[in-house]
Amino acid sequence: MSEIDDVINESIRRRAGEVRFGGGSIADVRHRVVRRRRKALSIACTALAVPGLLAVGVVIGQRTASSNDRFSAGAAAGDTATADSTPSTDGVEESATSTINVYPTPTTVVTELCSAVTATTIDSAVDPYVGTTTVPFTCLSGPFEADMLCAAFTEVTTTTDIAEGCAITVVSGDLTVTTTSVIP
Amino acid sequence: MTESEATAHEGAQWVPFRGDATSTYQRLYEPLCRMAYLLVDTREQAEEVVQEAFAKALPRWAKLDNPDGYVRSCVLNGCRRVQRRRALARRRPVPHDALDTPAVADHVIDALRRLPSPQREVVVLRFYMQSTDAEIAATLGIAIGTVKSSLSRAKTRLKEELQ
Repeated sequence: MSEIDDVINESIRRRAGEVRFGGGSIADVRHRVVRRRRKALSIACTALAVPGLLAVGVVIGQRTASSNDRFSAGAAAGDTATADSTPSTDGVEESATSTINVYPTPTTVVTELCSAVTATTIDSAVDPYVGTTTVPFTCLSGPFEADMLCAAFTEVTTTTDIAEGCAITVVSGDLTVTTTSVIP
Repeated sequence: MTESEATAHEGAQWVPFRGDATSTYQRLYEPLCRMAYLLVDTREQAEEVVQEAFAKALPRWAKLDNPDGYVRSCVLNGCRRVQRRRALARRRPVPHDALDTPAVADHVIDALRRLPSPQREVVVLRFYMQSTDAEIAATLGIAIGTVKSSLSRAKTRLKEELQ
């Protein structure tokens, strides 16, 4: 062993020996293990609980929003709310003033509309195939129904030939049928 | 010579031993604390590191092939973590007065503190734990050649600083 080894050896041993280590027992270590496990469990619970609570919040929010929409739509259409606020699903009913009261069941709405549009479009247009015809449509209430109507109506026009080649838009509660191509 | 000095001077020769956790703890606690003390320079942190190492090893004790080596590696990792935190916290070397200063001014220990961490670990394992090159390599997870070169560089640097 060289001289530097001796010097290092002696210094390190002196340094190591100058402090007493008495504290701590295996019981302390076991407590420490328990604390570590609790901490890990707590972190895991937090990691699982936060997304879970968020998901529950989102679901509740969606259900609330959906319920509100249905309620306001039913109220706007003159539908009578029942005790549990569930709107009727009868679709279309004629009122005394011939206004179509609609609660959104797209198929029945569109069936009624199709016949109205057919009559108006074909009978009143200057050119029966090209032009714009506006059908008064007082039953529409709010964007919810308008959107639904557009989607449903487009679907129907593909199965019937009533408005093939027509673009359909809903503006301010009126159904506008624009013929964009000539039907042979 | 005090009792603790006697223990330190007896040398903490590393004899691989597979025993139950309690006897291993009683056998290794003090040598490991002293080893950690040489690396982190404060008694409290040394004890904390060793206790934490045993707490980490205890739940998997039955599965460990070499519990002594596992705990020793945990202690070294803990010491590195302490040094890293210090460096991050202060962005400069630890002030001398914040550490447990030696009872007698010791230039060797001062020079040892200034060594890079890997070299310091190699020196402590060699001169305090009396580990062989192969044991040091296994503990630190490095090649034996790296152990030899680190030790050589450390001794050269210590020699230069002491002259």
